[in-house]
Amino acid sequence: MSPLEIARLALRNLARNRRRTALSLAVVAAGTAALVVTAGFVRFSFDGLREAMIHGGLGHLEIADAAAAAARGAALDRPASPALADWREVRRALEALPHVTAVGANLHLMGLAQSADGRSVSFVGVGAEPDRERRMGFEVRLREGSDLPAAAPAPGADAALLARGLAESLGVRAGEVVTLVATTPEGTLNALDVTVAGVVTTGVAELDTRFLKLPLASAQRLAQTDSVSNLLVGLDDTRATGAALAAARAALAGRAAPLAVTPWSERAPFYGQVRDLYLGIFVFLGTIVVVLVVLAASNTLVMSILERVREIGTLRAIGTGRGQIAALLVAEAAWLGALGALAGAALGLGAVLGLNAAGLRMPPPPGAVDPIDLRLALVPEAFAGGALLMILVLVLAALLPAARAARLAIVDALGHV
Amino acid sequence: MTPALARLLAASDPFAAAPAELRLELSFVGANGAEVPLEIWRRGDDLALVRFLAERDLGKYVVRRGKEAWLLAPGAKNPVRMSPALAPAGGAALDELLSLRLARDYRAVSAEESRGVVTFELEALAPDVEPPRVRWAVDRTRGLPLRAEFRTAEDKPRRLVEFKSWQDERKRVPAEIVAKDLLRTGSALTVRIRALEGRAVPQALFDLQDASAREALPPPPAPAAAAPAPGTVPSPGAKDQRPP
Repeated sequence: MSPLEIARLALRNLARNRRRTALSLAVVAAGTAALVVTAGFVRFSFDGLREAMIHGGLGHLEIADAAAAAARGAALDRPASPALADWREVRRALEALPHVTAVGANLHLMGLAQSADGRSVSFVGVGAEPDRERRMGFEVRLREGSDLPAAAPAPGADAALLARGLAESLGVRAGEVVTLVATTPEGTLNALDVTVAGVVTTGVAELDTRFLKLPLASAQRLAQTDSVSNLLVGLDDTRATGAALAAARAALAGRAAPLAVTPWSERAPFYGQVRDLYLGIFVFLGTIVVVLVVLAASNTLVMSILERVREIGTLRAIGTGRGQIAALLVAEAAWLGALGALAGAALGLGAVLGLNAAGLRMPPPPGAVDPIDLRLALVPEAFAGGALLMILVLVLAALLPAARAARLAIVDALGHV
Repeated sequence: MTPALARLLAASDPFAAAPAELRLELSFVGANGAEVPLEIWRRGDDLALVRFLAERDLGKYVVRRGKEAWLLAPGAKNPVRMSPALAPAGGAALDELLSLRLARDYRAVSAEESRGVVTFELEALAPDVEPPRVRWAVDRTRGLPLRAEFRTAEDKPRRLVEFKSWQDERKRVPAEIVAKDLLRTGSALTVRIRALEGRAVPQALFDLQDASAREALPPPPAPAAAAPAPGTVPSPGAKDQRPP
């Protein structure tokens, strides 16, 4: 028998016992669909978290003075010192690179915010450039008031966005004035009155109690510096991060004061932790699904062989070889895997589209403020990988029963009751 | 404690001969290496005005009235009340030294001598005396203080001051001190005292609302107009902008 004939015969054998075949197909299809949906959820979580972190303030690349970045070390939440003096030249060089949408300068601050009635709360702040942040796709989650103006404010017209927890602690609303006190690079203190332009949320409950953002010019007035802490590079596509990283490093190489160019992934250890956790869960769930499919398929295949012992004896008696018998049974399993995977892919696709259309929302993740929309991603690799995995699993599950069937003695098989 | 040690302690009081009303000119090296020139105007122990003299700092003051201090900055309309945690380490250390009256306000709990250095453990006689405890190390031969550790009432170290050199040993006027705030992680701050002069200090200098007396102060001395550190810019407005 040629392989094609074996494949054809295997398909006909499956069609002979439709109920048993349908049961096996249902198991395989459910397993494939589970893998497709889980992969879609994991991809959605990874992509959502990644883009939220990048457009929530990390940017795709960070450029900082190498010494300041090294001093910052592992404590990434500590503000970088305003060590980048020639940042305008650096920015010009970076904004000429491909994929770069904009390069925004940041000045990090820490200090005390005081309200007019004397309430005082410590803050962590960032001076930023709203116009460039908009071009970089950074999002401002405004809860009250308005966003910062695009143009740098004149002295005496300084404004700030306060995170809602900080605004609540100070008892201020949009339009009111707070005084910010911060340390200058020399170590002296300075104070600046700012009008609360708006109240925002960072999306992180803990950060909301201390965060504020003000225009770069205002932050520089408060810190009495013309330098910045770092530059954030926004790209038109996150997948271009590697290429942009290499290009930025090449463009900035050879400077007297070396600069550290850091991709977002190295500045987001949280993302790595979540990714590892989710991958662990995915592998665990995937293993359970595969084991269930193997057990169910093995059982079905063994039952199928036990029911067909006399048939196998007859085939052997008319000259069918042991190898052909084994190949026929393995081919049946491969058909089951392929057809089940196909059905499972269709089922998974329907589940993904259905869940996305349902507009379900999930509670805020730990530490976050807002609930998130449940949107499952369509992962082509999961469809292809799931199908291949199922075929492989079914073939593996069939090997042992097929070998046993092939070893049956013709006389015993013909006399099997 | 022996009478000799008691005399040594009493004689080691820094600024012991300083007048009640004085102007002190000093500078410290900032965290970024830039020199920060200051003036301290004192009227008794209760009133002190720190005037920042660098061009970028013009119009910026710290006013201390008793135990309370305010920051006056051109960018802020109203005086900003400062918590002790915000007090600039160098200025605060010097102000604390100027207020220190060892013989009058403290009693020695113990004294230990080792290799010519006598270390006194001092405890404030009254609860309102700051700091409540001081560990005071004195060079026995020269009678000059070497090191002071200001401690909390719970005997935790708060600030360390080392006397590096002296402008006038007889009057116990230091030329350079190194101050380290032990409650913060900041690095040690070197404070250089350039001049100390006794002069009448008007009460109006310490008025939080009326800036006219501060605006009438003589312009900063020439050496104080130090070049700003790279990347620094002057404060907006070169004058004190307190509301009338």
